[in-house]
Amino acid sequence: MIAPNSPATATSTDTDTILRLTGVNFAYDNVPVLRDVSFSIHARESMCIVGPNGGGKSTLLKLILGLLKPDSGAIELFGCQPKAGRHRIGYMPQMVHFDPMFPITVRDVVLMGKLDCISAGWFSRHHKKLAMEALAELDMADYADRRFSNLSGGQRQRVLIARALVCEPDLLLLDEPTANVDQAVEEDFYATLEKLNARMAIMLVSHDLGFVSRFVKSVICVNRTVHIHPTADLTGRDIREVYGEDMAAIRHDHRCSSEGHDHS
Amino acid sequence: MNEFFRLLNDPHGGIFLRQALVVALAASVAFGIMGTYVVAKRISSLAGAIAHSALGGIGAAHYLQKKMDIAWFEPLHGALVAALLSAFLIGFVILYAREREDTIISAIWVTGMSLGLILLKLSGAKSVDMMSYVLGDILLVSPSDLWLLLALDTVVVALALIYYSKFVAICFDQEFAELRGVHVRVYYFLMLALVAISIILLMNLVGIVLVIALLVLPAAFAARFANRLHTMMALSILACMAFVTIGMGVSVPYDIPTGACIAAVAAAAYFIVLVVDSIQRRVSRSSI
Repeated sequence: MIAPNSPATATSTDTDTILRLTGVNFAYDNVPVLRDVSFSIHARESMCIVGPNGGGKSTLLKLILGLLKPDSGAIELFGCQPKAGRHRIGYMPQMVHFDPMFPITVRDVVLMGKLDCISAGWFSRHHKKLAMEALAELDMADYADRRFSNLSGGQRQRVLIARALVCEPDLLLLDEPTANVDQAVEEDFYATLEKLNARMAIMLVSHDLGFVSRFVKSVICVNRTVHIHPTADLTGRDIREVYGEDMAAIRHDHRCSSEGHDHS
Repeated sequence: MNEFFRLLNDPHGGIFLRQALVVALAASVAFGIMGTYVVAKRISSLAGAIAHSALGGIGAAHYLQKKMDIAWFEPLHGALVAALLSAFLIGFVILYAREREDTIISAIWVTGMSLGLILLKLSGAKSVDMMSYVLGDILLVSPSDLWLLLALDTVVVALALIYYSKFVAICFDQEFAELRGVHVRVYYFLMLALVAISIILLMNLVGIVLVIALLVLPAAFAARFANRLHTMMALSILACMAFVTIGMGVSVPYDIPTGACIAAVAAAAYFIVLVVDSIQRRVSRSSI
């Protein structure tokens, strides 16, 4: 199968493409996880990644972040290799990633976004000011001196997004940002994301497709391969079907707009 | 305790005791800081393996001194080399080879220990001498080692504080640190090396088996009161100093094994805090 976005035709026209995957394959110990993945994201675009557990969502994120190398195919992040371009990504990992006992304040968590600015020693007053600004943007400034582990799930999520923002990213990459967050908080949360989206592209992994049609412009389904659906084409029935736990139930035979690609 | 201070002030007999106390108090600074990293990063079993592997180095040094006539290679030097070597090996296997962490830790743990016992026996050490390395002995803290120990202590404390922000980051979220351009592997190795050197500082006083207690327990004790890693470090330095002083104060006059006494004091303090903490939690929950 020929990759739909061949690099030869793409480079000259899409100057604002910030991430492009071309025919990416990846296998763990010869077990294929991702097959022939091709898609791209433009500046200030919003995209949601959905898919069953074990379908390769996390692997896809790790490839984009340069933590894994594709077996074949190319990943171009801000026109460079992922390792060279990833400092422009603001990344928020999943909550399960953290030790619930760790003694650290909210401010110190956010400051980690500035790790690339210091070679040794401690963070400066300027860095602390930037951290406070990022916290303020997520309405968490009042919690700066609280212990991170004492916050609720939703509050921790916001702190981790503030940490990603302090990196001054052009692409925000959020892994399961709505896990452990209750419905009321979620409304606020998407308002915040919409605000941020004016400045940067946002790519998020979520199981919660209810918001997808309102916020993100396209959905990519990751299950070994990748299919892209512009949200405009997702009907209510499609979303219900996806909600019904079976991600494979999205219809893959409908016509895609120019934003998506042909499944053929 | 009064008897302890009398012995400490004894102009002739007190010299060993004073020296051991100076080493113990100075080493407490390194232990408080590195112990905090060890507890935060949850690598205490790894530190245990490094400590036990030091016996291999002690055995090797004895063998070289007694059988090969290399007199300058003291047991302390052997222990330092062995601890650093095993720290490097463990780090290498965890980062690069795909072996289970706990398996390699146990393997290095027993290799160092068994090699040490065999080499000590081959170089003619008596069982009593072997036991004093394993369980610690105040008389093992020899005057010639004092300056080396204090220098090593200074190196550990300086590096641990200079790279504080990086170490906190790799303890809290190593992946994110890597994404922010931190050379996480370099700092991981550096952290293990500093843990290894710290262990050497108190190995003779507390013993190879029990030295891990002073790395983990003061930090675990301090974690109950601290909201940030550097307050946890400060608290655990003070706790470690208190534990070694009380442990020595109780053990020396009554001729109880010092290492065991220090470790028992640390363990008691930790468990008391644990119990009080859980009672407090239960009370505050029921009052709501």
